[in-house]
Amino acid sequence: MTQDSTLKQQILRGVAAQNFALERNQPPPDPSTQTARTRTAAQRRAQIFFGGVLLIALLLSSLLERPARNEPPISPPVAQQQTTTELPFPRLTLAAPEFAPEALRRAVDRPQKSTDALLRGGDFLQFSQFPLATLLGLSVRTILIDPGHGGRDPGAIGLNGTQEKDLVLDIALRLYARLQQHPHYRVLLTRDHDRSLSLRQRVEMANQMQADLFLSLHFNVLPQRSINLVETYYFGTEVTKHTAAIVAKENRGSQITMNEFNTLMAQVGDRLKIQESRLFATAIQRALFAELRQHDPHIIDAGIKSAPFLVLLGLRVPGVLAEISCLSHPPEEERLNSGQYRERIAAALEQGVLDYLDPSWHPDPTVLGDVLDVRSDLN
Amino acid sequence: MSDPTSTDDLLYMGIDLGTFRSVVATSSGQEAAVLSYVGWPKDFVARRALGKDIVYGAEALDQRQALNLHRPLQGGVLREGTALDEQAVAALIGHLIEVGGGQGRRLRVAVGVPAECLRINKLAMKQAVGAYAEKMIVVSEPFAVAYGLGTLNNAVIIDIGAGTVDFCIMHGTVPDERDQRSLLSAGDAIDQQLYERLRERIPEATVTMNMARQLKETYGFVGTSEKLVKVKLPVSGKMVAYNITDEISHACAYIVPPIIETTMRLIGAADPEYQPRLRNNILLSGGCSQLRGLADYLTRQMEPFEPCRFRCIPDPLNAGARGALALVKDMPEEFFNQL
Repeated sequence: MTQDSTLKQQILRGVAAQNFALERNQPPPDPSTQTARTRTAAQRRAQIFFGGVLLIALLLSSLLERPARNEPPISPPVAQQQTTTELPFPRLTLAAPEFAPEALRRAVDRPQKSTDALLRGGDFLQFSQFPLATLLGLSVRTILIDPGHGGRDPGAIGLNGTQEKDLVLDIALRLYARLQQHPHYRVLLTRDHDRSLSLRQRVEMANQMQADLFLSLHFNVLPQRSINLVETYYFGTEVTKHTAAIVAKENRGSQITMNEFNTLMAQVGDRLKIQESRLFATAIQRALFAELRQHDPHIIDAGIKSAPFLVLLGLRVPGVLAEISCLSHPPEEERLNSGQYRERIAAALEQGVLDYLDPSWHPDPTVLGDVLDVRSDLN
Repeated sequence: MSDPTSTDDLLYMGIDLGTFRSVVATSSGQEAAVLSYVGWPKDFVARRALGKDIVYGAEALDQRQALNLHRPLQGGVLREGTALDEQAVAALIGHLIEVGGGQGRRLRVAVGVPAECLRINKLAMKQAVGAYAEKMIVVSEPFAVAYGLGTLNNAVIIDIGAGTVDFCIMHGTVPDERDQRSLLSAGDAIDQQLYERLRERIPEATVTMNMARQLKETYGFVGTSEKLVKVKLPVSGKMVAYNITDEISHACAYIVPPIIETTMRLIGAADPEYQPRLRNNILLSGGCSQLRGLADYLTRQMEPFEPCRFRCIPDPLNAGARGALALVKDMPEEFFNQL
């Protein structure tokens, strides 16, 4: 066999392998068709364990009291929260037995309060300046990646026709493949192909699949084409002029009624979800910005923000919505059409997820949202 | 390896699905080009006048006033994701297979897609072609061109189409994402530029995007031209002559800077020892590589940085489909069986 034909054989083998990978390297089966029975026995055991820990912590909390006036509001400015959130304990590990005595020690000499009173007043949720997940030793097992839009809903469309639904799906599949390398986590996707999914279905999927962490991927579109920015949202009730437009866009077609909305709003007091979502958003934002500014030195770090996205509201677990960058910015659209660039974004998101799950990671107190004056430069 | 003889019902087919023009080449020696347009009659009157339920290619473009016209392969891939566009792509592929003589045959098909086509689009393409073909593979367009030319090592292929400019470095192996790039400013962007410039300079003339494309194809050049471009454009029903040399020149030059920048970046990222060989073997394919003076202009523009040699390949419109055909014909059956 000549050198030329050997080379051809190698190349043909490579082409076949690429096509094979394209067909076989599928994400897992559609999560919407799976049910709770897919949960492993270990997860069930973990649930029982966490339930027990929760009960013990409730009883312990009756010995404690923390003056409500010292509590930060649920959604104060991000920097304020972050500067006070130092984590003396490993976060999100199965180390509750180790730090529970520490929490008890801190409570010494505090006036007692009954468990009933704590639960009635929701004081338990105000229990600590530390994330509740840390105190309760809650662990993340299942990560649900949600590529936004899909099917009939293309999401944002760039000047050259690039569609948000395709980009987020591609990045989600890359992120999925990356996170699969970490055997401790079960990684799922809300969709693995181009199909329509309402926000309700996404929320139901997250809750049905017992997801522990929810990451929704989106791209921004701004009237100012010259601007490129990265921002990450977690659920909250504040709405600025800038976020209102984005919230309206992402909440479109939610199929959630006003009554259901009100019920869901009642869950806003879920402090654990908000605390952890805020930290998760910080980790994602920091990792994304660090990566994207290498490609666009002018990209704006719009920070983490809270806003009432319906896809985050219905979740029972920490969740964030990452607006990765601006598809309305033509150079960014050009970059997003590069597979290498999308791979870098997936790597940054992976880093963000791993940072959040890393017990030694501390949020960067400088992650703040810039206030944008949204004016059009289309004309 | 199987024997792709004409007596066998097995037919090998290479397809270059383009934004504007799609080409099919088959192992039985047939080659056909179809404009990537699909149209459905707007109403029963149009259907009756046309005598067809669906119209393809140049005929569809010509009859566009009576049709709901679709150009579903924006950027060379399924764009809209709507049922109608998916239907249009499926119909177009079916038509290409029909004109390639593949109906009722067992087909092995290779389809060329843009270099950095999203995975989801590759899968969508596979699904669309899979309805007709027994086995199929998807390859990047510039790679298909390189394979067809036998340029498997130390070459840069730049395929300049209507929707995308696709780059691929060949270094003796299948190019991966690091070796490939796609730009979205290509032939269509030139048409748009020319259309806008003509509308701005000659507002009294009636110019359409289709006319702008025809003007580009007929008179397009990059750099300097010894001849002035004088054309007649309709003004209030009368044909009036205009000199549009500057408009043509500026519109065609619009795609050059990103091509230079991307070429430099791609070569710059390659192994330094092989960079001189790559710089001396840059091949241009695709419809817009036919812009007069493009290869020389690119060569001159690169001189201040590092001397490079750009060349246009022969028959650039069919090179993608021929390369895809060569690839699918060479593909051993055992490899196909894995798919």
